[in-house]
Amino acid sequence: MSRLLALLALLLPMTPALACPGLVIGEAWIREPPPGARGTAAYFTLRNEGSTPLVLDGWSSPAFAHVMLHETVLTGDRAEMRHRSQLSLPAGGREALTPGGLHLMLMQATGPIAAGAAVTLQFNCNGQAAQLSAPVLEEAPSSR
Amino acid sequence: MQASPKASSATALLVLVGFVAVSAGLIFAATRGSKAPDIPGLLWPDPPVLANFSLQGSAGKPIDQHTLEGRWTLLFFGFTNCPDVCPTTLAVLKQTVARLADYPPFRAQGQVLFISLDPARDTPAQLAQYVQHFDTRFLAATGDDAALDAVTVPLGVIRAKVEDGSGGYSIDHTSSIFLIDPKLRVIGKFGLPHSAAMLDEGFRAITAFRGAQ
Repeated sequence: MSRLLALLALLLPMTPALACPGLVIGEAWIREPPPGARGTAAYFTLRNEGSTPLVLDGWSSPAFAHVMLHETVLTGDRAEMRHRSQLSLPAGGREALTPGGLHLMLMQATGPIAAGAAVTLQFNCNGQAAQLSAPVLEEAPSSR
Repeated sequence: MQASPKASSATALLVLVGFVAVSAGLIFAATRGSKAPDIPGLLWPDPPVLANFSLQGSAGKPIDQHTLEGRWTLLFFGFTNCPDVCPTTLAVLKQTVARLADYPPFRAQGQVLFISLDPARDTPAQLAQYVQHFDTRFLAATGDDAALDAVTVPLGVIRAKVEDGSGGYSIDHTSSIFLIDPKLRVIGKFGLPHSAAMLDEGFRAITAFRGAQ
């Protein structure tokens, strides 16, 4: 049942983020942290359908004490974490947060994070508070 | 004009000598592996060989070179506080194992080993729980710096602690999946981005190639 709910959440149409005109968020999901892991990551796509540039920063979540925008970068075959202070989306711009690339690092969960739940992610959009909700899934949606 | 019997037997001899020489050359090339076949991920000729090592596995069991002898091992390095690359790769390995379930060399001799590069935070018991979330057959191990070096150095695996900006740390590390053959030769290396299809094909092609050696 919880898997079904998570799947249904994924099938919802792209949702506009509150208080961020023009921003469309899609394909949001969070990997269920394996037992023993204190962190995980959130993935989603962003599209700016408005006519003004958007700057997103100040990521946080009530479910995690520490949230940061990170990018996994390959140097040779070495994966490195790079901190990104903000995301800039020009009018018409797109950005995808995907496994092995750009992602929201979610560390120090404040409670159990299990598949089937949904997690709220908060951020600032051009200085205004905004948020999105992402379902917790056991596996990447594309691997289903 | 007709060739004399002497001339035609000389020609036959030349043809025979030529045939033997070409065959010997082909056999030599095949047995020496002087020309590596075009298999993505294959490390050949002269693959590095793992030296003796000793790590702590779950339930107090050591994981060492004997754990790998006679097996085909998919080996990956990481740490449990790794939010992106490690769980992504372990999820791909889970799918890979499912794809290889009907392939006799994997069914009989295949295994997956996750080695944590973060012994300060990852206990063997915690590691076992972590990998078994993906597949109950996955093995996990860690050890102190010297014990880890015994495995990472021959493989050229790099690990570097970096501050994560919240008082904690992350570990930048080599993210390739290695394939170790039953004689402890590091015969395959698969870099990011990983996919189950790519690992499945790579495993089958490399084990088939090795079977012919």
